[in-house]
Amino acid sequence: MISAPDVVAFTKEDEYEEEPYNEPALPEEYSVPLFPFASQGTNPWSKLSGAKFSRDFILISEFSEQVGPQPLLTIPNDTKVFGTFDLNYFSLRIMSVDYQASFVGHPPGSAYPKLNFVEDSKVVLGDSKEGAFAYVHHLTLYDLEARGFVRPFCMAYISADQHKIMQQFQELSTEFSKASECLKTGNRKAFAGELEKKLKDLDYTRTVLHTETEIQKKANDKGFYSSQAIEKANELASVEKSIIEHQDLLKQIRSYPHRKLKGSDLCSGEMERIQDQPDQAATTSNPDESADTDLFICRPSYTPKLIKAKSTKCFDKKLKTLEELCDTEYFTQTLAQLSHIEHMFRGDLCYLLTSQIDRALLKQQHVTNFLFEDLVEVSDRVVDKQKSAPPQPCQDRPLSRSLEECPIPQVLISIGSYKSSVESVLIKMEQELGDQEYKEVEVTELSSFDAQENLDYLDLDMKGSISSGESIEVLGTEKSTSVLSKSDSQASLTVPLSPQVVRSKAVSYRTISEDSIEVLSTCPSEALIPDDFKASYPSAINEEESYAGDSEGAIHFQASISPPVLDEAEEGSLENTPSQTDSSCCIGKESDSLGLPPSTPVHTLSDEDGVVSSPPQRYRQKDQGFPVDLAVENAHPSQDNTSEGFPAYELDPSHLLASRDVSKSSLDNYSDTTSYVSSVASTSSDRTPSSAHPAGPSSERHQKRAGQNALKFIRQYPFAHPAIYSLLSGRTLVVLGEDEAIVRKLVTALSIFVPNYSRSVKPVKHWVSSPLHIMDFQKWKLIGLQRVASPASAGTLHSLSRYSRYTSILDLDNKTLRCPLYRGTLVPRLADHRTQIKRGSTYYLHVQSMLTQLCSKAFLYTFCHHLHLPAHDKETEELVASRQASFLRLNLGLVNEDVKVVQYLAELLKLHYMQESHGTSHPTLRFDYVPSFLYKI
Amino acid sequence: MSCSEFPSSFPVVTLFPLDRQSSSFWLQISAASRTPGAGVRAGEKQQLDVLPMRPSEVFLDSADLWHSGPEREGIRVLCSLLNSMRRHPLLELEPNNKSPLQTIGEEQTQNPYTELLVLRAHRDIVRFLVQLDDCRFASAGDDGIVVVWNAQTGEKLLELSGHTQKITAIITFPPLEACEEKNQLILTASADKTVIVWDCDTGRQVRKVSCFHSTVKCLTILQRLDVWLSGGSDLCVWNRRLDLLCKTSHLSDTGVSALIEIPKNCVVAAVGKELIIFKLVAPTEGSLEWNILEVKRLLDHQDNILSLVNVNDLSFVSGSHVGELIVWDVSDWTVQACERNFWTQLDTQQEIKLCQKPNDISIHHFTWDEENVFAAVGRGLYVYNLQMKRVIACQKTAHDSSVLHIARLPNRQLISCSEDGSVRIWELREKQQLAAEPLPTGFFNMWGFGRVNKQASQPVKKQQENTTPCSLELIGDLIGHSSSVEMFLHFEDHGLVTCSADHLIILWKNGERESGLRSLKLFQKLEENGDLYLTV
Repeated sequence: MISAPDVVAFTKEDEYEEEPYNEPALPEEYSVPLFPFASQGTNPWSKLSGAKFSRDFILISEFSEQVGPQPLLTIPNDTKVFGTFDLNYFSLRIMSVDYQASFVGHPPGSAYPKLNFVEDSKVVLGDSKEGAFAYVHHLTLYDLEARGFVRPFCMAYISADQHKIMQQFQELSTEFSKASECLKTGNRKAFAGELEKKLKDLDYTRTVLHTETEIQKKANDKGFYSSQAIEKANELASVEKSIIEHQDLLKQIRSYPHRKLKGSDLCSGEMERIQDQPDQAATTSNPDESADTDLFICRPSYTPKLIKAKSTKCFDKKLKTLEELCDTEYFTQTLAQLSHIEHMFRGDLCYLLTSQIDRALLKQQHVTNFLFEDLVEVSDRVVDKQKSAPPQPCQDRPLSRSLEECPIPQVLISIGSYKSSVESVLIKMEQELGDQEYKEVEVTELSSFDAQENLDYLDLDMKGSISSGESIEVLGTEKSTSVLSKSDSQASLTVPLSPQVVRSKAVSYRTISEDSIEVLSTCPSEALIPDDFKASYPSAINEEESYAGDSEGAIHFQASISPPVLDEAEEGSLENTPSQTDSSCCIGKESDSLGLPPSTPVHTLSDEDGVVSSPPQRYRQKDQGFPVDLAVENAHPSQDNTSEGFPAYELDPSHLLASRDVSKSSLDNYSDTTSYVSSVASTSSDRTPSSAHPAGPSSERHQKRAGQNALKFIRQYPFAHPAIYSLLSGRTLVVLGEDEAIVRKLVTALSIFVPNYSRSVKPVKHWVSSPLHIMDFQKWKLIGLQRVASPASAGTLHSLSRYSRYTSILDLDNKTLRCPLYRGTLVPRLADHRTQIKRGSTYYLHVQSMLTQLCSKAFLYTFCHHLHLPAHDKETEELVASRQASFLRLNLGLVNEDVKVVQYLAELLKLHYMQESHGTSHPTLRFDYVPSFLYKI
Repeated sequence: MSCSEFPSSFPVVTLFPLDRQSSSFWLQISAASRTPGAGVRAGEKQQLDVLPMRPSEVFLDSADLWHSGPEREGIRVLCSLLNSMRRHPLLELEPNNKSPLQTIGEEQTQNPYTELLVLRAHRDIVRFLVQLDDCRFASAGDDGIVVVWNAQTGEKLLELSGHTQKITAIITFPPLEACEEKNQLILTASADKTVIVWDCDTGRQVRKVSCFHSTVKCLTILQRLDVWLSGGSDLCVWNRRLDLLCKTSHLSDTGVSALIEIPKNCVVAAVGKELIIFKLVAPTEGSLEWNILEVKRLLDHQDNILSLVNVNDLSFVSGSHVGELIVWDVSDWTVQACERNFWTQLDTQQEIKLCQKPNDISIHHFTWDEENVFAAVGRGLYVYNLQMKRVIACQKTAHDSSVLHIARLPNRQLISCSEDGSVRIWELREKQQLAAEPLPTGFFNMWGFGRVNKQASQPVKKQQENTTPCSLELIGDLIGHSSSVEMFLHFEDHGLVTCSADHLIILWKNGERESGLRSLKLFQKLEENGDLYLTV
């Protein structure tokens, strides 16, 4: 609701010495840092410091054991994006940060090669020469053929704006962790499959060798062994050893989820399942060995090959591609996640921060934000509730979790609706947090301050390490940062650190470090570290610092190689972050249902068919029932028609759960044209759970369209004001017309002015052709009504005139409006036909900000005790009424009919506030006995 | 910009039951909008001549349409037929009435009901509403279920289902002070020839009597004797535990249509055209038996008696199908006053309508206060003064069709509901008299305003008829139901409840008061949550 330009404008104010006007300044925590080069008089939209690429992109690189660092792919995969930027050089740069000393192979004191499940590391790296700054996420994948079984990769988010990387570190880290987790899960599957194949090969080889040895034994039973026989025996022994080694590796790789999930609240049975599902999807072989057979299902048998004793030269073999390493399914999913990240962080830092603040603020306004906000905002609330509810039956959980957190919003990506994807993802993040201690910490703090605090900490760190010469690399584990930032975040809850402080620090170190800054951090893949880490943490920090001493030119904090302490720590963290881990394990299972918008919380899934069994009624769209309605009412159009006019579904909301029709129709309603969006949604809706709506209402495209059409309406019709007043004051507006498309379009446009009753119902009915009924006015505040020329329409029009006191009627065909008089000042500001606003999205934002103001007025009015109730016993009602009137007029500056708007909103607020605890409350139909006028063009 | 109507005028066909018992219907073609100045009523007269039947009303043969085959389909066909007929220029008309329906515009400053809540639970016509206590009421209807509601929130509290057919009578049985069983009871009679006693706090079915030979059409409670009576083809007396104490012989096949209690342990039963007085003999030392004895038959009515009420301690009133209103003395059962021709009395300017259907003058319902009996006569409302023994105010066409229920509010207001689906609020006002009129002497006006009523002493009957001393002013109408409003119930604190043939119950509330109540609740809740900070 708070549009970006507004807030930016405000922050500029504080550059002045004295406040130009008396209004209190915007609280610091709501302001956005200024453009860093503003003081140099540069245009903030000019390209930053000569970066060679046009916009941010994501680069995936590998440190190939054959050719060294090499770029693999970029997202978006478009040469225009990175332009002349030297990917090779930059790959070298980012891969040269050798962040892990972990190795796979024979550790001292261990007989067999050991797999280390290394944690990802997250590095912020800058190269001012190239004008590129990057968030670099290192990860290691396993490859049986690779040296030490590992293939180091990294994913980098490259931007010309250093501050963007710094300030969005937390979010980037979260998102990239998801991608990484997805890759690694796929990789583990593939690796396990590879190992199984290898084992079969070895087994086969052993059999062959064994037979040969036997034959040889039989051939010369002279009692001594030929050199050939000895060689065979040695070979056999090495094969045996190899088998044991590989079996061990297989056991290790399979034990991974167990280890990771240890201590989680899932029972072991569930873990088996979690592990199972992806396995079933990904396993490609049918292992003979007994140990783990039960985990795998039978597949067409793999024909083993004989393994030559001599291995091929490592340079001859072709290394596996990333896709081969990770199982195509997971790979595509990762790509989707990455392009989602690209969408999410696209645009100016200012914009990102503003929208984050915006969302955070909206959450604070939980009393009023239901009125005009898009219903997407609702989902987190629902999820919160869901999370706090008693756990669901075991067998339902893994699947539903995986669906719920399936991070790939393909629909969104295809829409290109940047904003909605941002929103949904953020919500998702919070729902993950829902389980954790963050619950009591205000979400706001989390999303708006934490990142900054962390960075602040990092900045301080950097200051300490400036001595390290040309290239500064500050490495820190995220664990340590998060712990420390947590500890001072205790203070910052009350005194939030202002972004300005961060900025100045950033600038200061910037001037000192000439060339480039690298901030490294290592952290477990669970990016969000719960607070209760603190207890076990300090020792870990100490240990790391000891490492830091002997690193050259850089301070290395390495979390993963300090096993005893960190394992504990890790377990601690795992205890608190089960959801993400298991979700990642299950991603594969559901990856075919990519049509899922991300924030879709699937409530309960029955595990056998994956069909929604009974989601809470969240998005109550009645459109589904419309055909039925029509049929029934047509059957008896007389006055009696109401007798059976209410099919059972209307009586019982739970009948409405039927997912796809609802989501489909809701999408249809919001898209005026047959768009790719709705077609995608409807085709994929077979698997789409009920509440799949978020892609619809909130997407920027729709907002833009609605804004545009609303603007058109305002310009076209001189009587737009009374029409909008009707909507705002809760008088149902009936849009009457013959052409469905036109009516729907206008209804969609006008729906931006309709206050919602509650979070779940948008009281807009886009298209009806049956006669309206009193219930309709109670339910809907904006109705598109079909005008039919046939005699059957008489009933429709009759009911319309009969109930005329409850409605305003906008006749599109005759271009007339019949509604009460409006003489206020509010709507003219909201809908000025001479407005300079030209773009739909701008107008939408304008409307939203105006409505926010209105909401705050309504809030004030509603929650001022003395305006509604006597201050003491002796006060008369008249006194209260006059106080109320003067408050509305003088304090809120409302004239004439504007008062009714605020009063209506106040009633909605009251009802909503009461409803929150009482569950269902019927919406009442409020109306006034006021005369209507007919407006003509 | 002009003030006009939208849509301009849509005559429409509506369907009304002919009366409450029979299953024949009549269709009415009416103008959609009733706002003044509609001006569509011109030219109605010659159409009456053109058509053999008054065009506004088409009788449906119940056998053909209502009961045979898919009934709704038949009506649908007929309606579409009529709708197409309506396109005929001659049929661009308004319904019959000469005295135009009084209408009120959209501006109704005195109408307090600015909020409504639609309650849905019934699946058929809702015919009865009874108040249980200050904030609860029960509704019953043709679907055989009884629903208990909270009048404040509109919350459905209980659904009592036990009857297999439509409910024909419902009454509450208040708990005895002495009785340990404190729960309030509801008695319901149904067309399935049973009477069920419900506990309306728990929803439990307390007892059920199914030994009736006919449908019980009315129930009455004699609180004093702690017995209740059921009236069907005979009259039975029951005690609280549903023991049959005594019964009369078979009275008539049509059964008792109304039953009231009068002093001296007597009850009056309306059976067809007759009023029968029964005396209830309670057990004494001599005999332990209850007994009910027929004392007298009153045969003054010419047609079926539709309504019967106790007006005060001295009299009761009965009204018949042909518009006779008779005031009876409660003690000696003699006629105190009789008003027979509501139509001719007040329509002296017009010719007496020969084709006047009895439906137009049948007395459906009464309500009363100390001085007046308010009668719903056909489509009109009449105020009959008991002292003056004449009609003091009337509204001949208060509604588009029959008025089904009326009730008086304490503030001289009257509410009526009708088959046309509307509810109207009236106020009884004294007419402004011309100052030049000579003041008669001696007669003190009944309203106690200290003003002498000129009309009361007017010797000429005609003058008297033409100018009634009071008038019923329409101060508001409530439009919500799409079909006949069967009954309503007024709660002092919670507004008005109406029930209708469209299966709905609507709770009409005073919006301002509700808003205040919500604020009160809001701040109570804030206080509970500890979110209320009062600055001193």
